[in-house]
Amino acid sequence: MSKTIQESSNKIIRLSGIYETETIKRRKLSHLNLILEEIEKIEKEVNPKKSQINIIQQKHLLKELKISEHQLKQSLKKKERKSIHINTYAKITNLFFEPISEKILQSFPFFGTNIHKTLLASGIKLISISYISISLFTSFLLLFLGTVLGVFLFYSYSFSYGLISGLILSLLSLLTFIYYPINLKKKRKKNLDEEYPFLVTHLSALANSGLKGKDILKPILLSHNYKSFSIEINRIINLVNIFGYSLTQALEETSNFTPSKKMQELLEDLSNNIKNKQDLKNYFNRKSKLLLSQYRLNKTFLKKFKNLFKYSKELIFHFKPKLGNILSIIIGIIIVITNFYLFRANTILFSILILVGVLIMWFVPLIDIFLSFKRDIKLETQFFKFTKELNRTSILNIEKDYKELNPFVKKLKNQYKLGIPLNKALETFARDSENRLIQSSIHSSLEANKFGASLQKVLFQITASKIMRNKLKYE
Amino acid sequence: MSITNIKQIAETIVELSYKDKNKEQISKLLKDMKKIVKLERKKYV
Repeated sequence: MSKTIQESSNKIIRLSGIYETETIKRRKLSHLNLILEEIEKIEKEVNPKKSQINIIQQKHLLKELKISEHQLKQSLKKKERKSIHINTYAKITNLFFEPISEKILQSFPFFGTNIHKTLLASGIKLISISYISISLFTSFLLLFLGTVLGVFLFYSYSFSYGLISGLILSLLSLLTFIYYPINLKKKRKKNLDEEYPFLVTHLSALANSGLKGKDILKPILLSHNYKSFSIEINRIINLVNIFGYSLTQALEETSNFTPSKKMQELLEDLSNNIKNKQDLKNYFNRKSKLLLSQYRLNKTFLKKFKNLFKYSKELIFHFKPKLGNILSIIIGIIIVITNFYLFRANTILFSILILVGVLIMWFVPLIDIFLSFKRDIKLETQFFKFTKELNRTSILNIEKDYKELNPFVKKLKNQYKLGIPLNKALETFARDSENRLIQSSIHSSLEANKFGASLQKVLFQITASKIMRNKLKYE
Repeated sequence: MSITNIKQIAETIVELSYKDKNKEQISKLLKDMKKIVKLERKKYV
C-alpha cells in the first residue's frame, strides 16, 4: 500500500511545484487535473471498495432503485472519453503568437472577457487565446504575402504600392476576424429566436413522455431542426459530466453565454423550476401553448414566404439527383454550348435555344424535387397517424391503411414478428423511409427511450410536435 | 488554504503511509486536499 501512496504523494508535491511557477491558465488547470487524478489513486488505495452483495440483496436493491439489471449494467460500463479534436492551424499559430495573445489578454482584461463571451455565443470551438493567435498570425502572414504579391504586380510603378497592398490585406483580415464571430453570434441569435416556440413544444413533448432533468435535453441533439441549440445542450452536458456542475448551475452558466434573450430566459426558468422541484411537464405545456398561439397571431405572409424559401433551399441542398436529372443537366449544357458556337449570328434562334437549354437543365430536377416534396408530405401525414395508432395499441394489432407508408409499416410488423426488437426495427424503418422528419423523430425517440421514456409515447409526442411545427411554419 | 498547503499535506501523507493504522488520517487529509484542489480549479474553469 505504502509504495503507491508515496509515489502518488511525491507526484503531487512535484506537480504543485510546477503549478505554482506556471503562468498560463490552461496549463495550470491541467496540472490541477493531474493532482486530482493522483488524489483519486491514493483514495482507491486507502479505501478499496467493498461491493460484493449476494443475488437476493442485489434484486432487492434494484427493486428499491426502480431500475432493471440491464440499465445497471449499461450505467456501470466504462464511458469512453471522446478525444478532443485539436485544430492544427491553431496549434501552429499558438507556437508563434501565444505569448503575445496572453499579454494582450492580461493588459486588456475587458477585451478578453468580451471576446470569450462572443466566441462562446457564436459557437466557434476555440479558446480566446487561440483565436487571437490565429487572427494575428494570419494578418502577419498576409502582410508578407500581400507585400510580395504587390511588389510583383506593381513593380513598374513603385515598390511602396506593394507594401501598401500588404498592409491593406492584413488590415482586412484583422477586420474579418473581428466581425466574423459577431456576425455568427447575430445569425445564431436569429436562428434561436425563430426556433424558440418549436423548441419549447419539442421539450414539452419530451417532458410529457416522462423525461426529467438533463435527459430531457439529450434527444434534441438528434433532431435536425434545432442544430443551433445543440451548442448550448452540449455545453450543459459537458459542464455536468466533465466539470461536475449540478444541472441548475450548468443551466445558469450556459444562460450567460447564449446570444438569444428568449433562450436565456428559458434556461433560467428551467434552472429555477428544477431548484424549486416544480413539475417541468406543466411548465413546458403552458409555455408551449402560449408561444404557439403567439406565433399564430404574429404570422405574416412574408414570414411564411421566408420559411418556405428556407425550406426549399434545404430541399435542394439535400436532394439526391438521379440519373435522369444528371442527364437532363448534361443535355441542357450541351445545348447552350453548341448554341454559342453555331447560332450566335441568328439572334432569335440563339435566344430561343438558350431558353430551351436552361429549361431542360432545370425543369426535370425541379419537377423531381417537387414530387419528392409532395411524397414527403404524404409520408409525414401517414406517419403521424401511424404513431398515434402505435401509441394506442400493440404494433401487431395495427391494420389501418397508411397508403404510401404501407410497405414500411408491413416490413416493420414482419420484423417485429420475427423477434427483432422494436427499436431496431424502427431504425430500419427510418432508413428505408428516406424522410428527414421521420428519421429525426425516430432517432430522438430512441435516444429518449434510453433514458426511460416509453418509446411509443415519445414517438407520438415528438412526431406531433414536429408536424405542428411544419404546419405553422409553412401552411 | 492555498496550493502551498497541498505540498505540506502530501508530505504528511508520505510520512503517515509507513504505518497501516494511519489509513483514517490519510483519508481525512485526502478529503481536505481534494477540497483545496477543487476550489483552486474553479478559478480557471
